[in-house]
Amino acid sequence: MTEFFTRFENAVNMDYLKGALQVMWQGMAGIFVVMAAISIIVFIFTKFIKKK
Amino acid sequence: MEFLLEGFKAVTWQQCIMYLVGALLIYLAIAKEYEPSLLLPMGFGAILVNLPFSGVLNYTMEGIDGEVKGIIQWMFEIGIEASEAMPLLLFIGIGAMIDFGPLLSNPKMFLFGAAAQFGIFFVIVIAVLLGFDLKDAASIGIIGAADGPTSILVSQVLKSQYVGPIAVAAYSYMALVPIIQPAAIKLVTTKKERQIRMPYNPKNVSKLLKIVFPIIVTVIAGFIAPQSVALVGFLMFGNLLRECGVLGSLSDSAQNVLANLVTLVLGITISFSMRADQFVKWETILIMALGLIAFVFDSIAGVFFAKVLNIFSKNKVNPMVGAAGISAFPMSARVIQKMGLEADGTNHLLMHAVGANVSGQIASVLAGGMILNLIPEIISKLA
Repeated sequence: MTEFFTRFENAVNMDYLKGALQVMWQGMAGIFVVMAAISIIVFIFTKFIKKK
Repeated sequence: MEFLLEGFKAVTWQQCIMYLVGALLIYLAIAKEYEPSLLLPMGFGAILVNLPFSGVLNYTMEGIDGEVKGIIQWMFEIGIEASEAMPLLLFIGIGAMIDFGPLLSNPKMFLFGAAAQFGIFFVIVIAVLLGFDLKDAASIGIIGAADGPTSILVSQVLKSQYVGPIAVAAYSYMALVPIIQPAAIKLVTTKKERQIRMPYNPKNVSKLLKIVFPIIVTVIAGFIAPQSVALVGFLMFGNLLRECGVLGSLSDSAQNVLANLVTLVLGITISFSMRADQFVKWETILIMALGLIAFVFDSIAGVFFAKVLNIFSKNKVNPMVGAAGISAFPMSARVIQKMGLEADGTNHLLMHAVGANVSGQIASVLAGGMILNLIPEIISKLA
């Protein structure tokens, strides 16, 4: 129990917080980049196949 | 005759709590039909591994040299800890079950899957603020992937000490999507927005595209986030089996026999991480709460992304479809269809929601891969 509350005393480790925020923006940006790239390729592929 | 009482004398109050947790999971599986294929084996396993001197865990015997292997511990060490084989094999089955047609006919839906992963990253930040270290915070955040195998794999690879609570939270909340999502969506939408109609004009998706698609996804994901290749690759391999058209029996086996077999074994194996000393902690309650927050913020982010798109788009999207971008397939799509009909009895959103939902399946494994890429790099910089 004491160990549990010690967690809050040390709660804001600024290095971890910076790391978490970095994971947040890089992770979301990465997912959007991959999904947008796949989406564009699918879109182009569909157009190309139709023209053929 | 003293030995007959040894088990009773050795039982701890923490183990008694785990019997109740096991019974609760079995009850939810049978009476409420919440993810029964996983919650029932996990519930039964929770009781098995918490019996005093349980023979399903490694143990030593007086007078006998060496350790005797316990089956559940052995399966965990071989099938999950050593290779992550079980969650990965399950992905072949999941990939073989998914028809990406509704997504391929409307590629815009890919972005909804991406947006609805926000809850994962939001919860990582919250978990860090609550004092978890980065790898545990990331493992807790991945509950928001709404995808059990991804949660197990990521938390295991990151060597989190909370694999058990994370697995229980991931599967429990997936089963509770029909309760969580409507509440979260209603919080951030008006009835008028929920009534927005979206005409469905099914376009023919060529067989060639369906075959090439899993290969394209694997290659792109592999180049941008190499750690995601195991997850994405096995998912897409299963889908290629389905779509190639010449491996019908393998596709059937992946969808049915393989998926059922791995699910059966995975459920009871993951119960190894539900030993009382690992599970009965105050942190477990925090993890359950954070998992719920992740699901709620996934849904809210999907809704807001759709609203933002509507500002720039001529063809309005019903914001609820954005919430279907979480990976809980197909429950989330069904929830959106039901809510659409509640708002307007003739508003059918199912096919749009299915498109967003399967997009979420890809995005959630990508999110897992991104976390596996980023977290070790950041931790090594901090060290």
